[in-house]
Amino acid sequence: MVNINEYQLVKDCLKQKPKAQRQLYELYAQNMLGVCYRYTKSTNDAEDILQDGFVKVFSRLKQYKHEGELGAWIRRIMVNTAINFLKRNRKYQDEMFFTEQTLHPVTDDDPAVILQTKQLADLIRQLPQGYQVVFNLFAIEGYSHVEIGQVLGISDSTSRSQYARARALLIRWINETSAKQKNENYAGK
Amino acid sequence: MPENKFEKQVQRKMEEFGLNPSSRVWDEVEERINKKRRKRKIAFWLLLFLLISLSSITTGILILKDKKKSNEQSYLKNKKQELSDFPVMKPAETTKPVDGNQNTKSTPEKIIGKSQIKSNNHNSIALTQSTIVNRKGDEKDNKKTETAKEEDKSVISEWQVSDNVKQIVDSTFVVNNSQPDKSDTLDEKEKINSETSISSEIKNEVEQKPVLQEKKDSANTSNQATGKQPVSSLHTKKWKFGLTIEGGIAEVAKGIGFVSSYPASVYQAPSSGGGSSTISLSPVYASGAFTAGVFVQRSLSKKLLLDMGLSYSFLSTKRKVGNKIDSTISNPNTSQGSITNFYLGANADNAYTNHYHFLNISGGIEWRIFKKNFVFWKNEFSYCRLLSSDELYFDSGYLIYYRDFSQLNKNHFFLSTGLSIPAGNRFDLEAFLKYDLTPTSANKNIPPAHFTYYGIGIKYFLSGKK
Repeated sequence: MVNINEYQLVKDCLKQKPKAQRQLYELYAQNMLGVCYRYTKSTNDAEDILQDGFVKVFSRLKQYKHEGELGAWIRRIMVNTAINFLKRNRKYQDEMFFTEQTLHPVTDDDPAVILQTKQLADLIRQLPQGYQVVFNLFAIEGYSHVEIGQVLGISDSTSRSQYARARALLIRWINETSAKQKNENYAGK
Repeated sequence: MPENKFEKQVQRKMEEFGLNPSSRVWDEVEERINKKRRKRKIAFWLLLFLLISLSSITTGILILKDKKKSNEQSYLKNKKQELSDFPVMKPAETTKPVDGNQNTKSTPEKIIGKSQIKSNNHNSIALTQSTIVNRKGDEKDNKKTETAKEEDKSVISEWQVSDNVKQIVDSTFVVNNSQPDKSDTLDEKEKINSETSISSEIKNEVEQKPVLQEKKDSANTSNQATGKQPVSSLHTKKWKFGLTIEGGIAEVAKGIGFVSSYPASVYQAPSSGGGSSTISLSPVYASGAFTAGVFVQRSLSKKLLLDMGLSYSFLSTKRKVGNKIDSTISNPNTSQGSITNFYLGANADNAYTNHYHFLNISGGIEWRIFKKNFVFWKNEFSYCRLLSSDELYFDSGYLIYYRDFSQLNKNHFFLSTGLSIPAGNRFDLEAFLKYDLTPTSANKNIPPAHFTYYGIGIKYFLSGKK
């Protein structure tokens, strides 16, 4: 992390100092784009969410009480902005209905995730939209199924089943990708 | 929560994950936050400008009025001084000796100092009209033999009649020893009016003037007969103050115009059993409102009144919501970072009343529409600060209603129009329509909607109107 006095930075941002605002953006933009990227299917959409999210951050910064980490607070804003974006956007709505037509085998295997972060993020993005959101919220953001149910307007049992299917699908893809990588490495050698 | 190895691995890897955003992201963020700042600045300067303009106009009016009054007083004082310095009048000094008929004819008016003093001994009305006319008409020709002494005596006697008249040295005194006929009196009055150069205010300074008194009496009598208030009572250029109470209906409308409900929107909601369901955003229905406060009023002219006031307004609207959930969910979009005690958007069968509390500063003009009837057309502009509200905000993401004061615009500008009718010496009855120029919500994603507030009111003048 950049050695910056976070408290002072927030204070300067509240005084509408452009330099401080730019500094805050640069400090968190990369990481937050990673968050937005996982919820969308295109980088443009992720950047739109990032933009909306940062506008909210600057307009509501006075509500930040320095009680938790600033990064976590900004991250929560990004996640909520992403969910709102998905619900508003027609492109994503069709896939947000959590259809249970496609069933995927559930597995309890815990494969070693040897993929690069970008590869893993891309695999998460390939999940159906409903699975993708539930997986992101549960596995990465740490929401409970009850909370996910409230956020998405579904029951917690639906959230559980969606997550189980998302997890199974992702593990299968990770294994396939890992095997492919290993083969390529062997072939390379 | 992630419990096993897989989730932990994914979480760790994703926490490290980041991407470089393109430069357009920051450019647009910067533009949007600056736009918000600019809007706030514009609102601040606009308010400041309005307040300064209003206070400048008021101060200007007061200063002009005071200046006019002091000018009149100093003028009056000077004239008094001139009179006191004036040499004691002697018959020989006041009039030229009458050499003969020719002289009398050629110089019927005797000049004394700056003023032409013409005495008329036939009535004191002419005196109080600030001019005493002495005409040597036909009768004068017949009385050519009258001595100058007699003439002078009449001048002096009239000069002594009223000290008040002395104040009006610009006036012309015409001596007429004979009784004029009615036509002569009318002519004299016309002449008086044309010759009189002092303002009506100075006239008023001169007390006990039968003619004016007579006029006033007749005006009062006619007003009493018609049941109307005298104009002078409404045209008192003093600050009047009192209490005001208004009551009516408040509603929220999209754009300009009367609509009884806020346009409803339909939202897609994911359903637990697959497929989709829709949630309709509840319309906003009209509800009660009232205002109570104090005001000051001042007459600018016979037709215009200036109004200023400070008041408290309570406005309310209603909407239908679903069941109340006594639970907390995290939502960084809210001021608290979480939502507690929210209402579901679905199954909206319960009525909920939104309350709004405003503090208002207003300024306006009342214009008398008709010449004969005291009906005023009132136009007002007011700045209203939203003190508090429990309005429900609809979150299209969560499909719930919750209270969030931060979502509302705090500064509002209302335009008001209406009619005001005086009722007795202490009351004014009013009917009004107010429109909020500012959208209720500060949230850009919500279509702008504005308050409309209409009703009736009553003004009570503590100081009386007279």
